[in-house]
Amino acid sequence: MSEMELRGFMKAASAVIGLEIPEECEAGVLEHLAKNFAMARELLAFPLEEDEEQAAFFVP
Amino acid sequence: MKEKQMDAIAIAKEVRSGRGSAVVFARSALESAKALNPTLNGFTSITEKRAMREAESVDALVANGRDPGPLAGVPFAVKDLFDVEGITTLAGSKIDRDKPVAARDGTLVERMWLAGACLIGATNMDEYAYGFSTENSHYGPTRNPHGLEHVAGGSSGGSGAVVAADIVPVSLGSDTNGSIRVPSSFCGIFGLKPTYGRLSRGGSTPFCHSLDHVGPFARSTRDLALLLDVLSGPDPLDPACTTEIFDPVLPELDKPWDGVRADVLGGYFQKWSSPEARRAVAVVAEALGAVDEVELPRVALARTAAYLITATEGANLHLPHLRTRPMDFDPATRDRFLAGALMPGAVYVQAQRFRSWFRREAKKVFLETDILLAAATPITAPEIGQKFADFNGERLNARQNIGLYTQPISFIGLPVVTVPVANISKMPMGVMLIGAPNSEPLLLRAAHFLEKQGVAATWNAGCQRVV
Repeated sequence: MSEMELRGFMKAASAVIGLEIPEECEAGVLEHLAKNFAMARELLAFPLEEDEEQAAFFVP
Repeated sequence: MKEKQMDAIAIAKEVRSGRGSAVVFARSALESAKALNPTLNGFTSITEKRAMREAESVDALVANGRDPGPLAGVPFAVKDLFDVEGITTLAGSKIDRDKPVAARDGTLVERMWLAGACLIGATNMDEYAYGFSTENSHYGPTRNPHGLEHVAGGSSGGSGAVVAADIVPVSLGSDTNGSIRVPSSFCGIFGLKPTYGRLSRGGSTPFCHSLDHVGPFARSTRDLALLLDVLSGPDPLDPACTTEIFDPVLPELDKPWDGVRADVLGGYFQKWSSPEARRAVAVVAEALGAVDEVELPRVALARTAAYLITATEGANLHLPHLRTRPMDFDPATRDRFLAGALMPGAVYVQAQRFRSWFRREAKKVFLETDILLAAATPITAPEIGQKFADFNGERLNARQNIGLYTQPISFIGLPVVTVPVANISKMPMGVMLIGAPNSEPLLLRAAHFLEKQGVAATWNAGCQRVV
């Protein structure tokens, strides 16, 4: 995502959950969003069988 | 043995026999706490009145011929996210100062007292347990007793430092991504992160429900075993807490060691290792006869998933205050929480489903081995304020990468005993002994064996400690 797209996401998603990002935090939040989404792309690319359930209540 | 270097079992033996006094041990711990805290900054509060009241009760029971419990008169400290009756649980935050005082002790605090232990104070931590260094902007950094310019690790840094400084023999901490194992490694003490759900989190401030564990720090492996025995048991206050009843571990520590197989984790778990981390693992591997290397599949992705689950759940817990008081958060956590609050659901669910996949793959590895070895931290404790560190030739953000080796393991709730390795480096370095779920007895036996061999030992004043 470009910085403009990331900023657009931040504005839209924060509005949806009623969260106002303070102006002085925007740069830091964008930095973490970029990092999170880079990680998320790797994770979402991992193929999981459809019967691979998340543990509703995790027991190791 | 000097009084301050006695472990909990030795102290309790003195008190229960009447040769020692709980009041004397409590007073000594309180004096040390008050004398060292201006330098160390390990405590956020010192509970002097309570400690003396509890110690007097223990001595009175002994005087009346009654048994005060297996931890009689043992001074201890708890991370400031465990509720302590009568004081406000801060969890390293400014915001929670506005909460009322805790109406009752958290489950583990209560169980420590029921076993006869006396609470000396609550300890410093990263805000809401979101960090690996205990460089807290509200309460200041906790300093490492082995090098005051160095961090103590986090997020349970205060609990690690006050044991390493010989103020108390044992303490309690929490571990979501490494917060017991990292301070154990940096402070040169023993730590136990039990199997997920093994110990109750009742009456403690949560960080990330899916991944939160609680456990003890100690000067000896037998103390870790005793604390696990004393603290275990079902608890309706923690829905993740197991209802299974376990045999006591302490009597098993000296059982024969034959037939146990240990292997070294390779690949990911060595990529960022400093020479100190490599030496520590090699020394432990040799002592345990671990010759072969094994690898866990897709470990980096496991760390990624743990990171994203933590960010999402942690942010959700704090969303009300992120809306109303964002600037009252520690700058070290605030932007991460704000970004975590915006995580798409698809990412979180994928991370949780991947967790199931990774758990299954890890269990296959334990069909062939009993114990996996890895450095608890890739590097020794960085300096306070140090932004970057050398991770085996890669210059990386220090705070963000200290937990590289711990995160994939807690992600699937495996039990870990962290042992401090003796005499291999200028600053402490710990090694993780990792087992299959509920293999704490085996891991503690292995750690006890290493301790008896002199391979693992709490760093003390005879080594490098400076306070």
